[in-house]
Amino acid sequence: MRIAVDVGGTFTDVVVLDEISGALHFDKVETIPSDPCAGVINGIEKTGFDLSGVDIFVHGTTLGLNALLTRSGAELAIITTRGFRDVYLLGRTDREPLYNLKYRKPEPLVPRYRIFEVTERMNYKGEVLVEFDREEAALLGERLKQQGVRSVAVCLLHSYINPAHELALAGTLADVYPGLSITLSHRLTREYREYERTSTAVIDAYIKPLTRTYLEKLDNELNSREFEGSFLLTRSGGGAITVNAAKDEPAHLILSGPAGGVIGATAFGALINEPNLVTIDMGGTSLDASLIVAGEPGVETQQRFEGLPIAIPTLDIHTIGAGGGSIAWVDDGGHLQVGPQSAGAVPGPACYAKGGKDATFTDAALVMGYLDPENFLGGEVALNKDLAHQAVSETAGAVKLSVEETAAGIMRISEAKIAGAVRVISIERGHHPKDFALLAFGGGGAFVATSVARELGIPRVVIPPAPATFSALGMMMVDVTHDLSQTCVMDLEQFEVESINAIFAELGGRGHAALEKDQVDPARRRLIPMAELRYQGQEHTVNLVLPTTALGSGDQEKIESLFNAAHEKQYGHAMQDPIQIVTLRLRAVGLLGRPDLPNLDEDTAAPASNGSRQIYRSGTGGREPYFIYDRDVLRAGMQIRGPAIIEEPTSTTVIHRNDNLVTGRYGELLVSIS
Amino acid sequence: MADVDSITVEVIHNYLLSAAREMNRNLMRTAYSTLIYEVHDFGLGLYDRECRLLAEAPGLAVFTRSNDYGLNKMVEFLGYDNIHPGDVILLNYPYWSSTHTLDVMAASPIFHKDELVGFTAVKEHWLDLGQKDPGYCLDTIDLAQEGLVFPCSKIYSKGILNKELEQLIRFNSRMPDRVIGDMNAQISACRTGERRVQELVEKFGVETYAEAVKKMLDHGERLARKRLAELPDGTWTAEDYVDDDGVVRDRKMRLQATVTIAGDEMTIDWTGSDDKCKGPMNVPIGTTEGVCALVFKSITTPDTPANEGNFRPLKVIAPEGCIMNAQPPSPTFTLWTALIAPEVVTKALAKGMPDSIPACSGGDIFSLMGIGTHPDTGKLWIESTNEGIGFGGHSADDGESGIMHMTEPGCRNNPVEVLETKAPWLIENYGLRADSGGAGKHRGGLGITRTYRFLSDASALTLVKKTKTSPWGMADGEDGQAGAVVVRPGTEREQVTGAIYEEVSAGDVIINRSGGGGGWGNPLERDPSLVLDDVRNEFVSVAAAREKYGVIIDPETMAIDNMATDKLRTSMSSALN
Repeated sequence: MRIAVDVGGTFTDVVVLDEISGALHFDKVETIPSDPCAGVINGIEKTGFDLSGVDIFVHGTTLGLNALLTRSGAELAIITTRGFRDVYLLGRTDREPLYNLKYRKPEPLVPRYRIFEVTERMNYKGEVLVEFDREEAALLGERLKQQGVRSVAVCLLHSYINPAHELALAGTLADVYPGLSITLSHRLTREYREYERTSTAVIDAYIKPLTRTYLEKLDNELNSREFEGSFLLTRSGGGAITVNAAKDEPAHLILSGPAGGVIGATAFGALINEPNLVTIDMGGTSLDASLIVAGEPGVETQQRFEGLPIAIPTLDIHTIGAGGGSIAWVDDGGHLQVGPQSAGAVPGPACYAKGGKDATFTDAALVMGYLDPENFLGGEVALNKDLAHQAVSETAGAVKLSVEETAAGIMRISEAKIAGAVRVISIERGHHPKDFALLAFGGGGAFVATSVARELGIPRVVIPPAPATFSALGMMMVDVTHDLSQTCVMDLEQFEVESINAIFAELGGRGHAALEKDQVDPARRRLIPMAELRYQGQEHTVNLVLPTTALGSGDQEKIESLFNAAHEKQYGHAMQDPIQIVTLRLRAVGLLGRPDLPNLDEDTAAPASNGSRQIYRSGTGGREPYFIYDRDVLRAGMQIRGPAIIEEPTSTTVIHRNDNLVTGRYGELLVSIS
Repeated sequence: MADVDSITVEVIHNYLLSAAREMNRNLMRTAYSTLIYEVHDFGLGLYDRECRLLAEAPGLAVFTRSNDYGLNKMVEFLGYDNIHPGDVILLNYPYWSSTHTLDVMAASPIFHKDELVGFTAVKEHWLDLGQKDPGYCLDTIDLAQEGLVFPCSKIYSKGILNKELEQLIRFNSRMPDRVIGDMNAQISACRTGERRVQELVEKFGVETYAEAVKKMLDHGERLARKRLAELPDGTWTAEDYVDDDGVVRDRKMRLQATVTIAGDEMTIDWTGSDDKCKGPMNVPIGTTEGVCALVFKSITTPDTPANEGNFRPLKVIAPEGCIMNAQPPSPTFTLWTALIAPEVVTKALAKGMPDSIPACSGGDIFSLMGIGTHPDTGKLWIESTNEGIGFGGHSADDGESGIMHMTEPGCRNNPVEVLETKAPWLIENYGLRADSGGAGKHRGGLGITRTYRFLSDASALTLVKKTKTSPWGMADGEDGQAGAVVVRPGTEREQVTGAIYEEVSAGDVIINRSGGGGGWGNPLERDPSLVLDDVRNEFVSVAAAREKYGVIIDPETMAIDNMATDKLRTSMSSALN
């Protein structure tokens, strides 16, 4: 039996898969922000399943990200090379707003009085220029102890090439201050750029104490309920890590929450033979977009969270402020705008009748006729159509359009923004949306999916079963994953195949050791070697997946042509210039085996409709009937031609004129866009 | 004419912004020189067929508006009849392109079928075009010394590479491979912009697109006018100085701006500024218009994306022959005058609206460059970085510390580890300058200091032209500390200066020290607990806390002596009155 728990801002979703009966069980409890562990346990208990029978427990947590958002992590210190105290506070000294003369940087996680220097210095080749001063370091350790600092981030110059001084410093600190939580920058990334490496270490050190406390508590709670399986956490870079690895390097948990959806999409895509997917996960306040190419989710190494960079491989998830609660407003020039402000869960959209006055995306959808006021969230929340109408009509007055046209406008602008987010992760990465299917989930994803697909030229939309809890379902489908890397700057002309193979052998050894520690059987291990290359003189690199067998000297030309082709695809041109290898990477994967998802019975009869609703048609002033279907009645093979609306308790799928829907074997809705 | 509703206008606007961002990303990820991918020394945008800015992407803010002027000159020079699908046109004649010769604009027309619907323009710093000195010129005396000039030359004509021009560039550059690599990145960004606008026009049709663009620009104009109308009317004049003109080193150059707000219009008039100068600090009128637009945008519509409509209420006057409207063949290589000019405008505005304008920043941009032959590879190296400065305090907050000047928001410093990997120098320290921020109720931000030790013989070049006057404080706030470049400190040959271009030997040291921002408001009114925070963090020394802020702090216990502080503050304020 597998169990997955996804803790969101408002709700904690639980999915249980009984592999013997093949049944899937979904549950939802309220998140307890003050005690997320209790929320998780409540969720598990609500399912009524016995933990002693569970083999794998997978968990996605937003604890780390929330600590960053609310600046509620540990009081920590930074230790850096003498002369470079301000690397962290200076950052890259740039800013995104172009015209703000009063700009302030994101609030740093460490004040200057907690940033210390130690005497030592390496050069860029990793040669020692100034010896590490152990006595000084010991005094620093004493000082941290006196000040009650629980966590420290260490980033010394050029440690990516020679970590000896970082290791020596860690040893000294541990001697004088046992129990101090220590993060070494080179453990998280072996790449140059001191600010980004420092920031990565700082984020890790910042969330480490609270993450440890939380994970230990949860681990104990599980054990006290006779849980004997593997406790895994979804990981920012895809896949999962064991609870012990997560305690050591919590930086990998920053995107743990949203990662579940992407992991699930990747696995679900493989099940239904859709290896190229654009995913959108639309919730109440924001939307996450990501891209899966040939069965692999996109990964970036230079992401920022809350303005703070994190230089470890992280799923390329692009978030924008477009959710069901996004607020419509009118700018000084009289144009309608939507978001990024959101009415959130409280007060929520005007139609929730909880005191919200602003017109939101959900209010617009209600005015258009897309939502059933009596059957929202399975009838748990009655939507107030009059309040929605009133809120939208105020906006309409300001933009001088009819109420219905304004509602249509709110939806169009939101969809344009969502399409923009998808362009960022597809076209801007060198991929055309027409080569992808759109997999939409979250409470709102299914609602906008067909319009967004049409806008981008995406030919097919997939709505998985229970899209609102898809992230939790996705967590069922993880593999244990470790990313290892080693900087290795080498011209491809001087292809030294033996030293490359030696590095891969070393990385492979580390990968096996990590998987051994995770108790993954050797037969279930996969090692995927990759190389980052660039044209000599360039900074940014292109990542290539290499053959899993040892390289031969003849592979040089093959790598060259693969790289040229990849560069051409991503950037529109290839060059004649010499190519350089920069970093060798290895992804070590422990396969957990994909659970079988239950199949739906087949039935190709026409599904019964629940009648129809009149939907406003923009630009015509009129309305058009959309047939309404209950998703529960659909069986594999059933077809519906648009316009139609498919309703389920926590989600609504809209298909427009001439769109064609077929129900798949797992209950997924496959929509061909006209 | 198609009737286009405001919602379609916003949808098209969003699309154009995302297209400009995609051009930006494409350029950054493929460029060769650190100046592009680390420092973001570029400015790009999408334009309509009348060369009006529709959407831009970050880089150097001072660049973007100047592409409008260059595109207009390009169309004037070539004529619409000579612009064809597939063309990519290079322009770096400073009096048209509105920056110096090394900032080369590549522009491409966007056609929908046979109809011209707009332009892309990407301006980017090229490393070398055979100008008088490698890297940068500080003392040219006419345009002919400033390198190869492209007077709207087609590097691609109807989609076909002009190999002769490419060879000409190769043979006229000291760094041909990197220049051509960067140029290809620039062209690829133009092509990206073309494709995206073509898709957009395809989808909406030419008429709807044109009408939507017109409405989008009108909307931009309304936003700016509305904000201007809320600002007080009046006329205010201010002056400031640039260190020197690069050739005549002992005379500061005066800039004077008179700013008038009348209803929903603004005029910036440079009458009263010095005449054009002998050295390369002259500013073409297109550049002057660009920097005025930058200030104008910052105080009217800073939070919305820029387009041409925003700038319609702005009028710029500069008498022909003055330093802000120089004429050919005056040299223009060191455009630092244009970096200092925006804060002459804010200084004038501050007189009329002290509560909304910050005090002066510690800038300009404190650029340092090294050039030499790398001992390991035997190849020419050029590496450089700009530095953050302190921003001025303002009525609501302190100024930020270590942050790029207002003319270059998207620009990033070059990391220590990158600089050391690429060039034979060792960076001995890099950090904030304590006490450099002007004291005030709201303190000016701190400048930085970075120390370089050269490990082999090289040329060192610093581009700093704001060391002889202090960053001004406001509303009784004190001035920030000016920056300086210190060459060979502690030796007999030590100089404390601004711009240099000289030979250095292995072992020589140069310190680049940027200015702190001016303070805002009386320092004696600063909350003592904020002064204590500053002292704890060593942004302000214990001595300065006492002397500037009248706050007495015990350095051992880090506690404020409240009684002594009250007494000192009282006596300091009565001394002021």
